[in-house]
Amino acid sequence: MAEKDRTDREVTLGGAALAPGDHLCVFHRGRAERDRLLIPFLTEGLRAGDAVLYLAAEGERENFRERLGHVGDLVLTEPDSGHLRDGEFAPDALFAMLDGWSRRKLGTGDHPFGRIVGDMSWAAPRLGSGLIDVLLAEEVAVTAWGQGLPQVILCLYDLDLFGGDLIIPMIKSHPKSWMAGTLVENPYYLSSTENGHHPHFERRIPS
Amino acid sequence: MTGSRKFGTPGVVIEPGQHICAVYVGEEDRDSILLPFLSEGLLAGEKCLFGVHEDEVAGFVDRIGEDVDDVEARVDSAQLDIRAAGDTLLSPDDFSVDRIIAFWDEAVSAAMAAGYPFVRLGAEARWWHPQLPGLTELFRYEAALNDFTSRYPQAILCMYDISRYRENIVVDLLKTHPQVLMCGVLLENPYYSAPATLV
Repeated sequence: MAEKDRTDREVTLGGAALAPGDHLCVFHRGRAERDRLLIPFLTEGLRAGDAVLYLAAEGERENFRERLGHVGDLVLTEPDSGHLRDGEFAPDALFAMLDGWSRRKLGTGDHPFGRIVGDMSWAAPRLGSGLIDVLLAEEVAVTAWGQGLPQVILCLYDLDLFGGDLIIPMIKSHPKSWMAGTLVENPYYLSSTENGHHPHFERRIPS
Repeated sequence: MTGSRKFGTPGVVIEPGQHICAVYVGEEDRDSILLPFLSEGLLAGEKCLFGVHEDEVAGFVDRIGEDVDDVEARVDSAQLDIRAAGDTLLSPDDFSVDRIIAFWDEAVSAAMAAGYPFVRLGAEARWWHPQLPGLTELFRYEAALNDFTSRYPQAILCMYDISRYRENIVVDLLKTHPQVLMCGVLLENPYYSAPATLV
């Protein structure tokens, strides 16, 4: 079987092995630290024939297109066509976009594996308790949605932009996180269907 | 009443009574947090009492001396008190939260009596784990420290190399520490549980 056809391929982040269906919160400090993790992760996927979707921070799409070298199946977006619609977080539209991308890319046989990365910097200037709750619900829903698909998902949170009111609940609501240079698994993570914090998340999961 | 102080890490400020959990990976990362923390305190005339994992602390003290003058005199005067791996307080068989808290209380009250305005107290998890019978006692101890830290003008720093644990302890650490230092950023922990709910 050719490497590009395998769904059990090796996926690594900073040297740590990830598994199909993984959804990680990645905490980094600043863009330089982010890129030291992100560029090898995306490059590894593109070279392996994975479909890659990167929801970049505002103004970074072309920069990443250049740095990733125009190779492989790479889709780059920015917040206005990713997480946001008319400047507001639009989780339903985001889910529709993610699910559509996965179905198109992973269902045809051309790309048996996918990598999705979202830079969450767009949320920093909009952050309030309401958005934190919505983001937590969104992350839980993304975990549930991604578990059945041959892909890994990373959500990038810059510690210079977000405080403990967002970061700590994110750690608690994710089965895995990347922090302080290592992969951390959460033994208390409740499966998405058991997660009591966000009882209505199911309606966000495309059928 | 004593006020805010520099932690030692750029941009990080500590308040009296704080109990901070620092998560890191590896010795270089530890030193990048701990050496400035202690150096800042020594240069401010504060008492520093810390347990480290090394069997011999001379090399560690020398590294503090790269940023702090007269470090040997500060050791001789006990302003700087670094405890080595074998320099323990208790064993797992005779461990009790009350006894270890009583030891810290005595040490900090002595520092106050000696005229120090502030105490920086703490240890690497690798220093105190051999003294504890298990993780359950560890988290009871951490919770008890939250009561103790408010008694004096002091800050407590607990350092966890999170790559060293087969069990994942990060979420438990979040329950017992009001502040978390991660990647050079001090995070207020909204999920911190008050001591009475844990002990």
